[in-house]
Amino acid sequence: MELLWIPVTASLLAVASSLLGSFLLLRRMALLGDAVSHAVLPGIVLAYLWSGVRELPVMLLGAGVSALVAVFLLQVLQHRFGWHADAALAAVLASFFAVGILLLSAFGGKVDLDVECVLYGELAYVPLDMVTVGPLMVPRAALWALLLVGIAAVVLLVAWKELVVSTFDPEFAEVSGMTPKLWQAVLLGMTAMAAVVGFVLVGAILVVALLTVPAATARLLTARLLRMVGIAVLVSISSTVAGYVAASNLGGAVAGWMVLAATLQFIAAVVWSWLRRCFRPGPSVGVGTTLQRESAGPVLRATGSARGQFRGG
Amino acid sequence: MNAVECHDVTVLYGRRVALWGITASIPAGRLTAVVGPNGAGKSTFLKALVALVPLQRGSVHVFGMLPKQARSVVSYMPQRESVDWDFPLTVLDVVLMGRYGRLGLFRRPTPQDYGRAWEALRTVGMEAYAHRHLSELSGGQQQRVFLARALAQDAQLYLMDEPFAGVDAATEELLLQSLKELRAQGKTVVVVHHDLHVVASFFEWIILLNLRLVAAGWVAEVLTDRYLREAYGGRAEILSEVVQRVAHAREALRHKGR
Amino acid sequence: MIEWELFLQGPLFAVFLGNALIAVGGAVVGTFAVLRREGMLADVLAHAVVPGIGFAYLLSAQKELPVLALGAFLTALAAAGAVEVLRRMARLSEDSRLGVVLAASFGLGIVLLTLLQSRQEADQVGLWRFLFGQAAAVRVEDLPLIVAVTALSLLFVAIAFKELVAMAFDAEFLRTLPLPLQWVEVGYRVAVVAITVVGVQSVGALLIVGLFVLPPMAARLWVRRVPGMLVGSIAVALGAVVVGLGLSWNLPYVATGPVIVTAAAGMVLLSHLFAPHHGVLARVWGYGMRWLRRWDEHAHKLLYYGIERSGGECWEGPILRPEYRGGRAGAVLVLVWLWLRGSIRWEGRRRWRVTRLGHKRACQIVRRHRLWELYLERFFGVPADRVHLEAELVEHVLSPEIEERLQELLQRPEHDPHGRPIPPRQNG
Repeated sequence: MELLWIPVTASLLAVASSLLGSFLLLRRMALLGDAVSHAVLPGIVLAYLWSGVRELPVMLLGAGVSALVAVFLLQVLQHRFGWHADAALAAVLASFFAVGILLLSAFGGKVDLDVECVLYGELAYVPLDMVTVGPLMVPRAALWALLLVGIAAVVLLVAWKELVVSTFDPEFAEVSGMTPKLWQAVLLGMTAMAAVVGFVLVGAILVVALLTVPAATARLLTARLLRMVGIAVLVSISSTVAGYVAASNLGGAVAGWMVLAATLQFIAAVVWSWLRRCFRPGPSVGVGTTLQRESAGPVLRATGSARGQFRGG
Repeated sequence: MNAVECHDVTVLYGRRVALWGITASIPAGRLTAVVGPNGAGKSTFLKALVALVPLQRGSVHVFGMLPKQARSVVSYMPQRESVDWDFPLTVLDVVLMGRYGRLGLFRRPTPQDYGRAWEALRTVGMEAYAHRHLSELSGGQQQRVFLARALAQDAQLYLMDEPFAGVDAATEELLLQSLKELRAQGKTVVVVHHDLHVVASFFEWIILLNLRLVAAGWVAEVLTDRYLREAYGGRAEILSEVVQRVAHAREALRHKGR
Repeated sequence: MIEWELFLQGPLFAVFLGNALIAVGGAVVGTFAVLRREGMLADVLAHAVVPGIGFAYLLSAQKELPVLALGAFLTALAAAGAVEVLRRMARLSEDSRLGVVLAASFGLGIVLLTLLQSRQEADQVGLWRFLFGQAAAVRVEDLPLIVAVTALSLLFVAIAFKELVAMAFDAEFLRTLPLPLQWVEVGYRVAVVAITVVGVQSVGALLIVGLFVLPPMAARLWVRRVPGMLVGSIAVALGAVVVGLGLSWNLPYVATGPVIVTAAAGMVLLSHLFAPHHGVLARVWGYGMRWLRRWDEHAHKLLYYGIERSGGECWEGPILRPEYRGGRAGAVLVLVWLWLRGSIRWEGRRRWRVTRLGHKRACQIVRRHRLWELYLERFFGVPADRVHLEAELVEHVLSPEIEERLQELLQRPEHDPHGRPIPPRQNG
């Protein structure tokens, strides 16, 4: 019975991840989750070494600090030193993770983390760490996951408009006084939080999957934002449940099966959307409907050069 | 033979129509302008001529050949923004790339290639900058580098996408000069341009686009009120100035007894 | 300390050579990956190696490197193919495609490995080592594959160098040339995958992307052209291996692979601190020098006011007041500075004399200040009480040419808006 906490906890994490992941995807920041989830490792190890306990809050704190440093570094590298995004992500990811593994292996005896934990988390151990909440016994991990969902939901509710506008048209958001930079920071911070919690639950690599795959699946199926977020949440929950079922019956890491379940849904969505495009009636150009009506006329100057008014086309 | 023959050319980006049913031709040895409002498909049109985009329908023939076969005699100059100018290269490196088509894979550039590259640099007045890093160049200088690269290709058909966009007066002058030079050598030049004044006074053939072909023909005949309004839709009072100019030019030519 | 003969024949040599070759191969191919902005693609391919190892073991029940390497190679290629297929079939941005393929392939890999683990009786260390690498355990038997892959990749890069650079810079233009570029593209991808597969023995699948990306990014600030970047990357990579192996030798419990990657990261850090123009220290130095120059010019302005007030070139007492608001200690500092600069001479008890040099410098800065004030007043209508603040900022950036131009424009003026004389230009 307590085993059911596993898919429940994972589902909570999945919901939070897919909510955030939808926005990350639309902002083309899908790989940020990958980088951050690798970057939390040194923080966790250091936190453990420093405090001597293997408590969830301690690990989360260490991971949080590490994640924030990584995010900060990413911004500095790209904006101060002009690194391209892919190079910055890859470099931060690799460096932090290397330091983490280095620390882990150096203090191997003292740190209670092991390879498996890093890779695919310890979902299976979730029911082992229970706390009492009123009449109920709930896993501590589930509480943290619930907190994460709560924060994500609150942020989304409060700032839905701002997030949406700053995602699609940052300049307009700026001009309208919406401080897109703030929301960018909020989103980054929440991603870091999700990566931190996710790392502990499902491992470094697989938190990426929860951030990316359900959102991508949803994107293929609809272009409407609200629907996309909804579908992403549904896909992520079904992935965790199906993955858990598969793992219980077939063996193997639970987190891995959850990713596979999400992937299968993704593949189905890819095929579906592709078929839909193939068999849709071809586009037509009606007179006056799709022809462009240029509101400003062409640029006419007697002398000098025109300043590139018309682009593209 | 016409340099370019298009028949029912249709290009789609996913579901979005970029070009629809373009049937037009471009005469050889002339200066041709491709004109139209934003999003009209001008860049796409050029790309179709070098087979950079797939055709949904229709066909393109360049000097009687398919675009892929004609690549050895066609030079394509993309928009300046399509490239990262922080790349670790010098000006000469970029201009030399124009010779790669003639060299073939894996061969080193020969002294002739270097010579041709230096010549191209001289033509655009960038000889002194040959060993400068790309990141040190201004917008106009970047455009000149692209032009030099195109010139170094020694092609028969030159396709240029918005070469005049965001350049200083000196570079604009130079570009026009180069176009004149190419014309004098009998080359065919097709340029996407937005300044109708320059088009009216400088170019001979014009392709007026707005997803569909609005008109294709001699500048004097196409740059009329009716076609311009169809392409740009509205603001006739601005366009009439151009129309007048063209009408005057036509009158002048008629009097000279063409 | 090191017996060279033993070294060359012993297992240490294999360790060093194997890791060094992998690092060099990674640096060279990685340079192009970075130039093409495919840094994360390399990470995706690296993660896709894992299921390949699982499949290879599943199908062949062998843990020998060549077999597993083949499996890894195939799945990594398949992942590259999957990214391409997604590009054509699915309307998603590049980063989402990469993220999905990365997660999916790694998830598959984890499932396979854990299934094998739960079912097998033998230890699975052999398979897990590909994730974290066993740089210190490269054996002589592994060398032929490593040498072959690295040599072929380097050969390919040498042959296709100009095409690879051009494709990274302007792929669109290159596609308009009559060249069969798809071969170059394929060759490049194969090289990336091959080096990845070979490299997982060294630093492991999870860290190999570091060997691709870190060396080129360390070299980037120091070189201006691609060949230089390649050389720099190779140097950094070798350095990282040497440092990594060296440190790891002295710290036997530490896994070697991560030390190498950390060393490479350290070199990136050092590179960004010490690089000549763009490095942190260089920039700080630049700021510092500019600040110092401004302060120096302010000091000379005070000197000028002192001269102006005392009517001559020699004065006594606290000459810097009232313009100077920095307090006594500050005034002493200014005097000392001016003296060090050779702008003033000390002639005994509270008597100072301005030197020729000092006079020239002082006049120069004040001239620029007052010319600018006049310029603002005449051409921009800025009221006289505001021009001073503006000129305080601008006086430092006026070049001699601009100064000359201002003189002309204002028709060789004699007084500034406050009625004070504009010192003429002095030569010598």
